[in-house]
Amino acid sequence: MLDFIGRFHPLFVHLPIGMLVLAMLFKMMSLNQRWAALKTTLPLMLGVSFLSAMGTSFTGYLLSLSGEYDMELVRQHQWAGVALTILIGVIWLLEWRTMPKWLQGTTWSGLVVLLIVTGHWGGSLTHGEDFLRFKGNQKKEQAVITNIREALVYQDLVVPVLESKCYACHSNRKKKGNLRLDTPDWIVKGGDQGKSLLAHQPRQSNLYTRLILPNLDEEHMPPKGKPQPSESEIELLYWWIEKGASFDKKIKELPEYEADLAFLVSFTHQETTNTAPYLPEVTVEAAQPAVLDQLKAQGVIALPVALNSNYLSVNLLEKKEIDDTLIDLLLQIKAQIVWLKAGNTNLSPSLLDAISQLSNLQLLHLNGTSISDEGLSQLSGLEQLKVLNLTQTVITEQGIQSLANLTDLKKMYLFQSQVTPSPALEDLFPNTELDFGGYETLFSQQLGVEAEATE
Amino acid sequence: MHHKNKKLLQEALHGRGLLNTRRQFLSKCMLGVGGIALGSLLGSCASKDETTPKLTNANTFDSQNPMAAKMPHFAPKAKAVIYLHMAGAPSQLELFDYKPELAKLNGQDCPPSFLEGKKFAFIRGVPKMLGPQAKFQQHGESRAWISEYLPYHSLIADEITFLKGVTTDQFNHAPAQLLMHTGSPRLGRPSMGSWVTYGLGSENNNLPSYVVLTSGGSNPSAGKSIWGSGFLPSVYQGVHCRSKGAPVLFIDDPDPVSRDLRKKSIEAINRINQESYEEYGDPEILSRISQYEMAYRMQVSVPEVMNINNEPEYIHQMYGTKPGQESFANNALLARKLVEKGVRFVQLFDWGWDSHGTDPSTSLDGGLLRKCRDTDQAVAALILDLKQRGLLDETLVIWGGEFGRTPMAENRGGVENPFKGRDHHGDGFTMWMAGGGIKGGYTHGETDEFGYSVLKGKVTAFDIQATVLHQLGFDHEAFTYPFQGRPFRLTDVEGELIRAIMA
Repeated sequence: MLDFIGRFHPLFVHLPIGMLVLAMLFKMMSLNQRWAALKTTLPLMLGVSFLSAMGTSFTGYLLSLSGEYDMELVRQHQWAGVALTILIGVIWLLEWRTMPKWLQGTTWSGLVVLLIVTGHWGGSLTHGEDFLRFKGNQKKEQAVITNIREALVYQDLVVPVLESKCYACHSNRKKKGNLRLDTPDWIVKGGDQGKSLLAHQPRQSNLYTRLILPNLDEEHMPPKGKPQPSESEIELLYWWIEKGASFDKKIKELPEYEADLAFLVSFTHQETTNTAPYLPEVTVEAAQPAVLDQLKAQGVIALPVALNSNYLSVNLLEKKEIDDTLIDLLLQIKAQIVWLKAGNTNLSPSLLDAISQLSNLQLLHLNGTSISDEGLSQLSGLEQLKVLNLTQTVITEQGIQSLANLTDLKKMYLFQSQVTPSPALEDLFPNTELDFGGYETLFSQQLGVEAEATE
Repeated sequence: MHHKNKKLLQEALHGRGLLNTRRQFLSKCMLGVGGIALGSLLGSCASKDETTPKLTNANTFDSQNPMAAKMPHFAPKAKAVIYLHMAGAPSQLELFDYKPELAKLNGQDCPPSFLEGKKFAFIRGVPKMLGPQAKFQQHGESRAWISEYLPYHSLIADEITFLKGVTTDQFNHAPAQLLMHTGSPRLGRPSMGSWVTYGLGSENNNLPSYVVLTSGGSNPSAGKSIWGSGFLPSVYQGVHCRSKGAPVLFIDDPDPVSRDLRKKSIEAINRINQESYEEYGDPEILSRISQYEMAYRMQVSVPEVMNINNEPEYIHQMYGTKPGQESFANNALLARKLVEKGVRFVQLFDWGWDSHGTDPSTSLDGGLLRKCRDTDQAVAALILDLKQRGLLDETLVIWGGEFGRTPMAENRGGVENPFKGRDHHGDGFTMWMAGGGIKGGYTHGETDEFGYSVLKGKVTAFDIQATVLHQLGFDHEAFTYPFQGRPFRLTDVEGELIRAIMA
């Protein structure tokens, strides 16, 4: 019961925060003569803040008893919260009478600082300490494994999976179900549900069986809505447990590893974003296999870019009949498509519209299509585009200008389009290599040189 | 299926491929009980476990659909390869590896240190040193040395990476060519193109995935084995196309046979083959069926893609192509067209680069110069044409021979040759690569001041093969095929990635 009440803490907490922010605003405004009347509202607002802060502190204390959180951080957050509550009370009492300016200034500034600090620590508890960064959802830099046989199975292969899919709730920050998965000792120890793994017996190990339950099952891990491991990541955990769940062995020290090398190497190559092959920074869910099969039946190739990847490379194979079924299928995998070859297709308005929705697209071939300047402007939302092939099209310089906001664009191919090289274009695309082709002229020049030499 | 099952199943399939099938076992030996026991054993191996994830990868062979497009181990930089092989072994000392110090030794006796413990194909006794026969100049922003023999190469100096420290332990053409293309100097291994086709399948159903084009003249001395499939299913072997006459022999319907009749007869043949497959279960029969089907589709699509008559005039000017001829230039243009249509591996073999100096056609200032004139422009055109079409990024182009040539003049049988020539030499020669995620305007490796042996950046055929596979998304150590009880690789137990040349 107490546990249940504690879980309302994240809800209650926003009441004093909102109220205090408003109180601060009114306090500031009331310093101006025009808004002086607002001053009268302050005691009421501070009073409500104080009472709700007390309630929040209480529920927060109950929640901390669950022990699912990093206790050190909890203590910091707890005492900051208590201090904040007391300070609100003090200011509330003081607001009844007139105070010297310096005291007003100190107490209210103190309130601002404490509110931010407490809120930040609370946020770190819920979302993890590395949640607040400038660029969201960035992949962690990882050492590239150059020789799979020498790789440590736990440290180099298993940890990255646990880190990205389990640590959020089962590590030093939170230990839901009294389970931590961030050190070998904790993994062996298990949690409320018993041991998480039995060496050599993946089917008896929670670390595997809970992952393969149907997504809707209550027991399914990670819970609905959290990032899910890919099939190959699950298979990796299976493989690791089956081979004895070693924490210190190298791949080459495991029994009969040779047969699975092809599978294992797919974990060694980190997908990078700065050079080809271009891939997005965000991770995506796997596409439905049925969609890929249907695309195949339509004569379109849609394949993961690699064995251990959910990103798709799609080749429309110069298809001329583009019907609604195909468009519909492409839209079902719009988050997954990262490379699209639509060259020499019959680029219908609906296909172009579908392409404009492929938010993770890195590479796009539209060579030999009927793409117009107007159509091109539809692509200005493809912010991640790195390579764009517009050779053999009727695109003009005007059309290209609508893509100037694509700052990630590294290469644009314009051979046999209506665009001609100009300094203005170079200025417009400072980061993009524009290839206008027409190299045949180099050859006639070369012929000229040769002719001179023979004379 | 989890791993143990997968492995057993693969073994079972493989066993069937070797004709030791359960069906045959039962029908031929009539050993009922044993057969049934084996049958249930095999059956249980194949039973599908619904709860565990299933993965297909490059190392799997689907005999029902051997050419289905497959994903590599990791995201690839290159989607296709064009391998330009100058059979006979071009002289690096006249083309790319500029050695002014060698010129100073011209005509002097070869120092004994060069000869101790060495074997040569034709050099006997003490030969004379031979200075570079061509003038060199630096080109491009990379200031790469390229000789006057290859004026058009100056246009692509900044697109390519030179490998100046290539070595081989083979000094005769056929084994050296086999080593370059199959990873073994002996017959029987699958060629690189076969491996790639096995690993990636095809994105174009109407064209072979691995095409071989020869410039006319003589075929490479290693014979057709250098584009053979070895122990891989034969569906992965290279398809040899001609640039003159019918692109593939007998691709046209013979005179009284109509397209309809051809279709019906192929259907009938395939029905019979299907029946034999059901009887014997040999996956090679399925290969045969899919070959027939592909051949039928190719009757339309191959003549179309192999026809360069419709290319615009400026393209012919650029490549120096003349439709109807059997030439390297025509093949270079075809290579671009094939890659554009989704062919994975195009291999061009040119001939006549064996500059021994025994007659004018093998002399460094006669035959070699003419070979350069015949190919230089088309090679540069191919690179730049791929580039302007946005294809060079994803097409790896390789140029090279099977070995290099000595800094000494050849003295066949101890007597100075009548023309200027060099003997076979594998201790340091030059190849180059371009596109497909390889640096442009870069040189890897260096030979000593006479171009005799490698000082740094030494690479072998295995290293090149490992790197090619890597650019296509394969880990060469994990890319295997089970044969004779063990997994085989293109690079066997060798091969190190040449990371320095990767962009």
